[in-house]
Amino acid sequence: MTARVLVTGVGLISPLGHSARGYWESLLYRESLPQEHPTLPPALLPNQRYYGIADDEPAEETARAESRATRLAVKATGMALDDAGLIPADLSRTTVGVCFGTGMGESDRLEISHTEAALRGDAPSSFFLSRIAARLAETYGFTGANTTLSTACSAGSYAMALAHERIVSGEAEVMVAGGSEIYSRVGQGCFHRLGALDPVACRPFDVDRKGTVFGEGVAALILESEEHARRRGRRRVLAQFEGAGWSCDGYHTTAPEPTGRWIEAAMLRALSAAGVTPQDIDCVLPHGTGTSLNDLVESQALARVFGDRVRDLKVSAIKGKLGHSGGSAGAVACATAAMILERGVVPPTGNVNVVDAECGLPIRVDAPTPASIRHVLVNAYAFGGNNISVVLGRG
Amino acid sequence: MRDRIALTGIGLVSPAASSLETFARVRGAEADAAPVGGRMLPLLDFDPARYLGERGFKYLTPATQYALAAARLALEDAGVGDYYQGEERGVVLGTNFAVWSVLADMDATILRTGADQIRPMEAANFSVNIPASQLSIRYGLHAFNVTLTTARIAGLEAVALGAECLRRGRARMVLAGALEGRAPEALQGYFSPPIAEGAACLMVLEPLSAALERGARVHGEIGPSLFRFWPAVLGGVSAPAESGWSEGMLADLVGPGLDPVHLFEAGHGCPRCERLAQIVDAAASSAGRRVERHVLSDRFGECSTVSPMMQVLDFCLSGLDAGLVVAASPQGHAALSGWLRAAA
Repeated sequence: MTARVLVTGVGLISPLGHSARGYWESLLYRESLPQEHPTLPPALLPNQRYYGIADDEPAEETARAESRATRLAVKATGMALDDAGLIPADLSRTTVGVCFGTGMGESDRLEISHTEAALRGDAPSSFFLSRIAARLAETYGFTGANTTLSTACSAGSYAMALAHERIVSGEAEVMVAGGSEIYSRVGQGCFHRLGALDPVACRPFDVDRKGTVFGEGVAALILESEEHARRRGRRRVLAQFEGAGWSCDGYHTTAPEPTGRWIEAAMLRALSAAGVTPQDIDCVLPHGTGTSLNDLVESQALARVFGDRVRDLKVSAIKGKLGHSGGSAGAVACATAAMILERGVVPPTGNVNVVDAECGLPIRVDAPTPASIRHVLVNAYAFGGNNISVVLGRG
Repeated sequence: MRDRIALTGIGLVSPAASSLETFARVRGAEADAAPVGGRMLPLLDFDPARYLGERGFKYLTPATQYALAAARLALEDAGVGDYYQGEERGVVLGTNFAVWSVLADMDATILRTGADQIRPMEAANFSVNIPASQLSIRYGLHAFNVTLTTARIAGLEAVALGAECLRRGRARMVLAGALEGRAPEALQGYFSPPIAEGAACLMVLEPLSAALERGARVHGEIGPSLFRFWPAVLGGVSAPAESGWSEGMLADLVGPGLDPVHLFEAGHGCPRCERLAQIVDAAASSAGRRVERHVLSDRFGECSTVSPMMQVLDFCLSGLDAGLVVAASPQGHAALSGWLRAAA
């Protein structure tokens, strides 16, 4: 029998605050809107709206020494360890690995280096994508496999899935899995040029949605074998990571495959890997970016997978309040799913006025929904059609 | 018992060699060759039209073009044709610098003339997973598509993940390997040989039983691998045992009886790679085994995640029964990748 893999701790830093508890409270009860990023004249970058992480340290100054993407990931990992009741010094005999997703990595340091030649650091800092995960392991003394995934906007979920497999295969007993994404000038510029940005807010499944809005986000989750958790006497468990399903559209670099057959395949594979049926899923966290065609294709695929039951699902599109955190988004969603399972409450979707009838999803926008949730399906899709769905269940 | 995974197709695009035959020639000619000059090895004779047709590659980044060309060579070498359906074929690639120069160019455009000057057809190229995505689009690889960006060892990770996906039944064929575009100049002082301008090395992986059934030529078989994060160990300030290393791990990787142990190294002057080789050497010695070290010619240049792939080719051409490919990153990643000779 396959070993159970548990989520025993969560650390979150998001536009909704610097703690998992603050995140949860805001996700349930507060409004959240994007703001302008005041770095370039509008003539150079017309749309600079994003959901930013409020940071008490001046970004430009600190980025010269350490990227915000890395500094915040180190902080989130510390929170996750604390939440799991793990002390790094006690883990010296345990193989702890790291799987982290990021699309743009240390983009702040990279972009400073484009304007300033004399940035502190040497050749090793050239590896701007994998430095986040490397610094996590260096900081906390984790010597297990240390992997960075950059499957664009699904990287965070792939990081979770790979971490799960490392535990199942016995390569590690504990994994730190997550993602880190901060504002990137180039990323914003390219999304603007692709016409993929909504000028108002991220409005998933809204009838007036016009694209996505970038959001910064950092999530770290502690994944642990049940045996390891039992041995250390851990009673509190947020959730179980039950399985994942992968697929690839192989259709277009930016547009979704219009029939949705491959994202449907990913969902069905995830259900199968988790050993559940559509009847067992009570809640879905869709990819839901606010992009017109993507939201529609995902809705239609959900309708095919769940049939009439789709109306009974609790669907929460969290990017409405968070924006789209790219390579971290899947990890943020998995952390949210774990919190939903532990707390028995489904957050409302923010910034949606009128749910698009064509999408036909039962999205609640006004208030949280208390509900007994057995299993949550989390979708994450990306440029190039790099799809993944994962299933989390009760711990 | 774990399913055995075969390497049945190899595609290489690099400054010194863009075919297995050239690779073998350069590999063997080292003794007579003059030292490599310059700081950057250019990809002078790469003609994308030769691999990708006259049209359709204009908006692709150089690294994407290398990857598409190497994929075509690998698939042709494997002779796999349409043997597997699209949903049975996956791709997993490693890269560190596929978009390094792309990001610099785009950022320069934004800062000088504005984001509106980025061409829409090229706007998606900022994302590092686009090369792998283009592989899926062109060659119909629908099972999965993953890009790993771990410093220097991501190609070996990709091969190990590809093999694991085959064992789990997630695919029946995987295209795995590494690609690189232009690397940061800062690296030119870190490694002793020149930096390659770019390269790609892709491999077709299949379950050994399926490969034999369809009569494929088998270049080699994937053995066990070990991935660790050892900055203090590779920096030489702590003992390997403190990070959980044991001689048993070596036995797990190369089998209990293998003597000598053949190490395949990059030989690019990275002190962390050298230290990793020394650790394996010491473990083998204390177990009464000899170690024979095979150093890749520096004529191939240093090419981050692609260099360990070339070490795999070095093993495949060696005719030896078993070998261990060694790679480390300046950040502290360590990879030991076991390989076996083609099964009869």
